[in-house]
Amino acid sequence: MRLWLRRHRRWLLAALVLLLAVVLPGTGLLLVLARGALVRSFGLAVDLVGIGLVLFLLAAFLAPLEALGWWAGWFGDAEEGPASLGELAVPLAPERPVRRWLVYLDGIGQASQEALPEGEDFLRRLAAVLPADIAILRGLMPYSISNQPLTEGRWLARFWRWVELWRVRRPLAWLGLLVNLRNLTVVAVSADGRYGPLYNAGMAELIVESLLANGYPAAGGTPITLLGFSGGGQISLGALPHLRRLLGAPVEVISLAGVFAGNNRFLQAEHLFHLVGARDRVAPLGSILFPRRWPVHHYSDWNRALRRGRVTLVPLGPVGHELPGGVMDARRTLPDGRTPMQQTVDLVSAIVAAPSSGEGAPTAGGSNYQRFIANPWHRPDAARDLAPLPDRRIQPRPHWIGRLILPAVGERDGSVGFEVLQTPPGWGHCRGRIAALRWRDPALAQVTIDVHVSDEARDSARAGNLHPLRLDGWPQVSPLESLAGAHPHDDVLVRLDGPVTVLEGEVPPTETTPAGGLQLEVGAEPLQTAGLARALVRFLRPLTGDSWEALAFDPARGDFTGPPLRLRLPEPLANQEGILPASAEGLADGDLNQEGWLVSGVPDGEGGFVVQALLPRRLRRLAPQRVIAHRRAAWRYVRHEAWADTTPGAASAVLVSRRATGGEADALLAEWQEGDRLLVLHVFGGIGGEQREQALRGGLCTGHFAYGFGRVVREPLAGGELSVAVDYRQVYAHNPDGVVAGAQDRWRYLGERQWGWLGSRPVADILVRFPPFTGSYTLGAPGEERQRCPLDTFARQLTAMTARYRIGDGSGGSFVGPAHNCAQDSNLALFAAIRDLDAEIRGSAPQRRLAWEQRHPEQAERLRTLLELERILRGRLLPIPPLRQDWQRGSFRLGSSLDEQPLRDLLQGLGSWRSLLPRLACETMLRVFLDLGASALVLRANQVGGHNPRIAPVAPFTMGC
Amino acid sequence: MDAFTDLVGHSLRLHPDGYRMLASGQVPAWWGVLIALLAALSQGVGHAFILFVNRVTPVRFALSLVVEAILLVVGFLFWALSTWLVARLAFAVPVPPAAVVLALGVAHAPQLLAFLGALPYLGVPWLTLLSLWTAIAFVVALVEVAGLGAWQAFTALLGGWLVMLLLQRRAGQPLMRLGRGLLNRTAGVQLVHDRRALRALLASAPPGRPPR
Repeated sequence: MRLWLRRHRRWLLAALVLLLAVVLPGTGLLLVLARGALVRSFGLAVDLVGIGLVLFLLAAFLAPLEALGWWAGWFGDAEEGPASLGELAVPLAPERPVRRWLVYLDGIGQASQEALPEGEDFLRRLAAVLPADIAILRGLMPYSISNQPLTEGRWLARFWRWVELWRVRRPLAWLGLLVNLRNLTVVAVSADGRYGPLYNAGMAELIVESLLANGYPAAGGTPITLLGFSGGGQISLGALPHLRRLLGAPVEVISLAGVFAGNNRFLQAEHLFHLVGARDRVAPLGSILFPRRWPVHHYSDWNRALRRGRVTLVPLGPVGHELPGGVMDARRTLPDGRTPMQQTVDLVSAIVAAPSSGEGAPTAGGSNYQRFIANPWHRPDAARDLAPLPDRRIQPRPHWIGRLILPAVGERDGSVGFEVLQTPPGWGHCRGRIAALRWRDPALAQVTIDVHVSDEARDSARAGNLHPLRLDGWPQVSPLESLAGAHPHDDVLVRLDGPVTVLEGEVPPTETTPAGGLQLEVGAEPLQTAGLARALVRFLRPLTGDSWEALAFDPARGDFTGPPLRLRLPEPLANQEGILPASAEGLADGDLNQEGWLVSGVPDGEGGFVVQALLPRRLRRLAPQRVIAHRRAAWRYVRHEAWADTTPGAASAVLVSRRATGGEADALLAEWQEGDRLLVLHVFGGIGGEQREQALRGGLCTGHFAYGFGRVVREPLAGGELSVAVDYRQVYAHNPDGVVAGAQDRWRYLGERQWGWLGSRPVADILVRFPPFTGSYTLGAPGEERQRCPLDTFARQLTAMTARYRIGDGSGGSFVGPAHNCAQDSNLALFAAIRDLDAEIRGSAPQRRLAWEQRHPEQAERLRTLLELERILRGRLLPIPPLRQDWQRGSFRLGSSLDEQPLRDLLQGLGSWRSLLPRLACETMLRVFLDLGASALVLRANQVGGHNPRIAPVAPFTMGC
Repeated sequence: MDAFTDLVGHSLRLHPDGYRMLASGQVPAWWGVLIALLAALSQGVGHAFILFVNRVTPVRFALSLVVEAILLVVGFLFWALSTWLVARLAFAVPVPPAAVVLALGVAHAPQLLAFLGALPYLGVPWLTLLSLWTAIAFVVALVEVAGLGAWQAFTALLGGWLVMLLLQRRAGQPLMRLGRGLLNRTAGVQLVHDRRALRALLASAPPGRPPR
């Protein structure tokens, strides 16, 4: 903005003077007096200027008539056709197919099909350097949709011929300006919101007919470059969307000192190259005269294209606009020894001859993911990971853990590859084999969608975000495929959740068929995870290199004892902003180390063990430091105190309840029993300090929200102490960090030292125990009873939502905005789950429900509370229902960013404003649960896992709920 | 003729003298309606692209401009009368309805320049400017003719407009349909006015036009 102001300061000053002249009283009189004086001194000249102005206005008034009449069919069939068509600058070589067509549209000085002499010279030079498989189309008069030159077939043709004659004799004569002025009116027509669509459609038809007449394949598809000089820039951009529609070809635009409006459909161009010289006084007029090119129009097509990297501004150095000194001046010399003409030819030929941007798939260049995968210790590697564990105190995780492999497009059968890296006891012989993994769930059919990556997602991918580009063009992509294909490489490590059906074929595995008939079937979403084996340790001291000495927990003695273990903690790689995701500095200091760390990792293949992820035991065990069983104090803690302390390296566990329990903390804690299911509310904050993250530059830390599910379990590594196991359901938009929307365990999402957030962000996991929502109900007639838990209904909704997020509802892109973001869509899933529950409960016949209530009085009581919860949540989540019709109808579509319809998006977001901000959403939900009698374990941690003085935790923003 | 140009000039400059001329009886009553009619014709030219987009033939185009202008004047008369009614009921102003009609008709003078709205690119901001200009002229006219304060005049105009809108939606429906039908009949096509439908029409290929 500042740069823009500086660049246009003269114009702004002139506008200010003009404004003052109009606004200030008395200046009108001064102007009248000034005009009187002028008329007296230069009477005839002033009158002539006045007449000229009127004539110009008349010409402008009549300028749209050609396009309007053409559209309305006023000129009759005989005059429908163009006067002539464009032609090739150089004939095509018959044996060589054309790879790209370049269409040249000259500046406003053009009066006939011939471009200005310098334009024709430019085309000759360009044709000489371009490869033979690029065809150049010339001879188009961009200022007439019938390609009718000014000098022929018009009422004023004789006049224009006379002007042209003068202009050729004396290029600087003011008479030549007349042609410019006339054509300028046509540029205004093309830029006009009313006439533009008509004129531009006509021009596009002319270009298409000229292309087809010169050998462009009728089936279309061959890439096109529109090269527009000066006003030709506007004409090119105006014709762009129509050309795309008519030919279905990628179109790239080169604006050579172009003057164009900001309402053109820039995003439909493969790319726009805007070449402007520092001495050009004409091209910058476009950014002044056309308001939609002003930075203040944040959501205009021009500014969106700039933000999405679809426009490249190419500075031409000390070059002007027209001759002399302009972009096509072949006489002057630039500091590098070339003429401006040569420079222009070099630049344009380099752009045109370069391979099409659409040919190579966009890469995730510059993303954090691309940086992080360079760290070999934090990605699956069967050769290393299958090595034996160095110590029996490091125990293999008792799950099926493996790397997902996306099948080739021609080999899809509903399964994905699963390289088995870890197994439950008894299946060790399967390690190293590649199984066919299937996820069987009838509900998945609803979120199995065709994927066609949108332009917006491609732009986002070019900007460094990770989109599922490997799935582009795939029909009916299943949630399992979108999980396997979420990254550019097959490196998503998952743990199979729930019961796993193993089908081992007769065929022994071979090199060509490594699966050897091994098939795995699951009914739940595979959880993204990190590490194959784990231990509970206390760090003693760093050794040489990245090694540490640590003591393992001995369950028999109940303490950290025995011979020291040697663990490796390789330093992770910094992200693009230079921020380290984790550090091992000072790991042995502090009370967290005294309690111990749960570590997860893989053998290093050299007798050591690499810690890939670590979690403080304090966040895992069910041993709160404080229990608050007081109505006000509990809420005060949740609302204010929990996030008040952001000391780096600190972690806390506090159990709260607003229910009157007689103040007995032990009674409250005793309610938490092994096997209890829990709802998890997760929030993270920002990274501040010296290396303050880019996301906080706006000053507001919004953070992130996610739901998850937990369970009270016994931790075998800690001698069977009561602990909490937590898995998240991350509704996560496409991002540069490689976080994939879906189910993730704490190892991957929090504790991973390269990919997780625990070491760099403040986090909160709030585990809610609320039997009406987290407990089970026995439904069905006696003898046909089945267990149902509201959490399962919610989990199904979240699974569907995260699957949709992974592929952006088929567009390949999910973007963050007020209406769609982690908090909004997580709560939309909750809203949908509540709707389903409500329908199921109220849908049953009253008599049957009465009988059920008599059979299960305790469950009936819980159900009444659940219905109350449903009623309150509905009101809290959707305070302004009409604004969120999409929630009510269950119909919405991901895949477009805030840019598409910013106002609608904002209004929708306000319709569920409590879900707008992550922390606010968390506190709103928690308040409802606590008010109805829930208890919650609030686990907080601030950048734990090692000291990094260059960053500091920032609490997420909230407001009254 | 001089008196007519004086009247238009005063009105364009928002000068109260123009309306005082009306009050003094120097001006024939039909001048106000004439100015409103000419202004409506000028507006028609300014918005003529709608007729072009709807592919109206040249003769019907001219007829449509005239019919549209007449309909606009009829609408204006209703609005002026409803404004008079509001002024009368809300502020108890003893002004004859003909005076209000004439004053507001003359206040249409800025719209005589609405044909310049057809100018490419500059036309749209020009029309916005004219709308503002005309709105101020309405207020000045009512202030001078009815002796109301500026806010009272503004309220009366707004109230009159709302009353007319209500009438259009309710009792005036048959009349509105008649007007629309007349216009469509004159144009020879079902005229499309709203922005979204116009955009859809623009996205379609001109039917019946032989490929070039």
